[in-house]
Amino acid sequence: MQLLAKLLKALNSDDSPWQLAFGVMLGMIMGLTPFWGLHSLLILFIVLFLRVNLSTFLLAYALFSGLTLLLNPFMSGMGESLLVSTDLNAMWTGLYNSTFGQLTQFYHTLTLGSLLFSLMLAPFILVISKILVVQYRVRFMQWVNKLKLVQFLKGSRIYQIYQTLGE
Amino acid sequence: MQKLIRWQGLIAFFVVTGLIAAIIIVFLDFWIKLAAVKTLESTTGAEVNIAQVNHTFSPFGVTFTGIQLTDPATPTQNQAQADEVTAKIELAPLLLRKVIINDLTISGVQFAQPRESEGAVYRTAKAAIKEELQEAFDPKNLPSVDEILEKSPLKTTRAVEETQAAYQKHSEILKERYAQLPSKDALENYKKRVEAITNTDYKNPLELAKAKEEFDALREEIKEDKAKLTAFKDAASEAKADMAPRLAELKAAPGEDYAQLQAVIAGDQGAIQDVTTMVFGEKAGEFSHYVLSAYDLAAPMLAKSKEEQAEEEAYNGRWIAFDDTAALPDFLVRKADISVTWRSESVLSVWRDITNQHDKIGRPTTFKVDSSVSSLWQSLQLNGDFYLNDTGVKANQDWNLRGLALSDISLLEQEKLSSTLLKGLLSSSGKASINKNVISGTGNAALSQLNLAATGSNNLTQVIAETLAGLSNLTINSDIGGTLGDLDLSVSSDLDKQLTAVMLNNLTGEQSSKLGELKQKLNAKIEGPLGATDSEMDQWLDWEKVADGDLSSIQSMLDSKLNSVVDNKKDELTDKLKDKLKGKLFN
Repeated sequence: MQLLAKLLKALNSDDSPWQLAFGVMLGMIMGLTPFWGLHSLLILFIVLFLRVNLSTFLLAYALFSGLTLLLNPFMSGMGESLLVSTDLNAMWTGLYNSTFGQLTQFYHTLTLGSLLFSLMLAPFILVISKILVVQYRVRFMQWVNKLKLVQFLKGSRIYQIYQTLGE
Repeated sequence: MQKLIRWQGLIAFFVVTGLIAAIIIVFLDFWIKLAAVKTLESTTGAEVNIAQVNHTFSPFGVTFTGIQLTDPATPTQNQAQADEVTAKIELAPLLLRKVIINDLTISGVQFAQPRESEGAVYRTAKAAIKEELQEAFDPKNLPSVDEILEKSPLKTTRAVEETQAAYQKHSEILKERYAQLPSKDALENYKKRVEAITNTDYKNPLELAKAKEEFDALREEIKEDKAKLTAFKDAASEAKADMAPRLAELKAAPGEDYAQLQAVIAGDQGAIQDVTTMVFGEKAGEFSHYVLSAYDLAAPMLAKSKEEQAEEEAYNGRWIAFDDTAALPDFLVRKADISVTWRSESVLSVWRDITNQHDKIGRPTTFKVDSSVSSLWQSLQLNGDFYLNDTGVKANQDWNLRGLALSDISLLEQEKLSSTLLKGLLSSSGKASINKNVISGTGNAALSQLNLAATGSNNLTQVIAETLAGLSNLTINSDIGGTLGDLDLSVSSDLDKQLTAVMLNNLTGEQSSKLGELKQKLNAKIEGPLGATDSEMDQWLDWEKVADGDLSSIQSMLDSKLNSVVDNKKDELTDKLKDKLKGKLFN
């Protein structure tokens, strides 16, 4: 209910479709990659410092975290193949021996694999999210707002709080 | 730009990251404790308790206080416990997921101490040796002589089988070769033909040459028969040489079996043979555990199967190490001082390079105990090393303990037999090695100035108790075997023989009659085969004598008579030639 209220609030807000789409994209990256890492800190910084929609970020984070149950072996394998590649060995060794490289934890198969996978996915997620938000606002928003469930949600205390916070 | 940046977000960022950092620092001790308990529990398979954890940031270190590791076999006591463990850890390698401990101090280590409350066990322990020993004392009905003979791997049975098999083999060969020997008539015929050739007066060389040709043909025939006689004689000699020790063994076998089996009649053979293990095995096991406890440290390092690891890695990913300047293993303790407390005496062991990746550091883990005179012993020296890599463990260890004073040690507390070592001195030395996880080694424990108290509740255990009470010295030899983490110790001494002798002097009427029956049945086992073999062997000897006679007769026919004929004729012809020449020259 809380998540649904968040989503409705975000979709009905004045935020631009790009803000919402960036929230989805960054939430996807954060959700697919391991939480403890330098990349997470960077994403958190971007999300909070730039006007990225927090609701779509949190929703996407929750959704894609769940997907890792299925995707982790694939992403880990992807990272492994890159890390054991003899052509890239010199680069990884250099990174491994630098403090920055050690902080990135890119010598961990899942960290590297999931970050690369989510970065490859990012442009598609961004564009698709933007299109979906626009289409929703044009075609479905009025219809959805008339639904009894939505009206009930809008009347709920949680939605009111979000509304107040957003103003 | 203002539309893009959210300044409040910057504050939120610092607040969120600050909060996360604060939570980590505040709960760091708790998380370290949680991780340590989880790791140790998965290694030992039983409850682990840590009373307190403290950390310092400069230098980075952790101190664990009050560590208790439940013994999975006996959950009411701790397998090991320590008062305090302090580790100084290098911070930089932690980023590479490497735990490098420069200095590790473990104090107040004690084994087999009682717990305040029973610890949880997560993995089932193996059946305790005590249960097996209890069974050995249960009075059993005396087995019948036939049962004993059927169950026991008798030397007599083996000797009979082997003798019969050997006899069968030789008998067939000898019969076959005997059948091929020339008959008496054939030999007589040869004799006549030789005489005919040798007794003829040859007038001229042509006749002599013809006779020579005839004799050569005869000689070939005789030679063939001679070869047959020689082959028979060789086979007979071989048979005699092979059968003689076998027959001697067969004759001695019943006596040896009797000596071995009389213990079965006299009492429970299993109990007598295992009495050293029963009485001293548990303490010897404990002692070996102390001596070989270093390997307990090594075992968990290999415990996690590669399969489990692969499954985890597939889901959670794995950390790949690349060449780094330090070439550090994932876990390394450069130096450790471990102080074990035993009977209020502290024994310090010094360790170097504890790791499970010795290939990375290129040297083994070493440990050393060098304790001089203490209130408990005269000297204790222990040296060892181990090297772990993908192929397993390679380790060596030797120990030398002199004059350990023992007192009031309960050796065995059972319903049918109890024994206590009131006083004694123990000296022990030995060595053990591990190659590819297989342990092998030997050790000996010399007990002197012994004063043992023992009581038994039935005939058998009373005799054991009396024998134990009379002991003043005892040397126990032990063989160490098994695999890493599953040590197998067998102990033996001459106590078993002493007990058998005592028991034989205390036989009941039934036991004596059974012993007589045993002796009789054992002797009966060899009577048949021995009699048959003896008579057959007599026949072989007769055949051999005949063959010997025939051989010498043929040899004499071949050699002496033919040579003399040729020589005589040669001389005769030479004389004739000389006479003719003289006539022509001087007339």
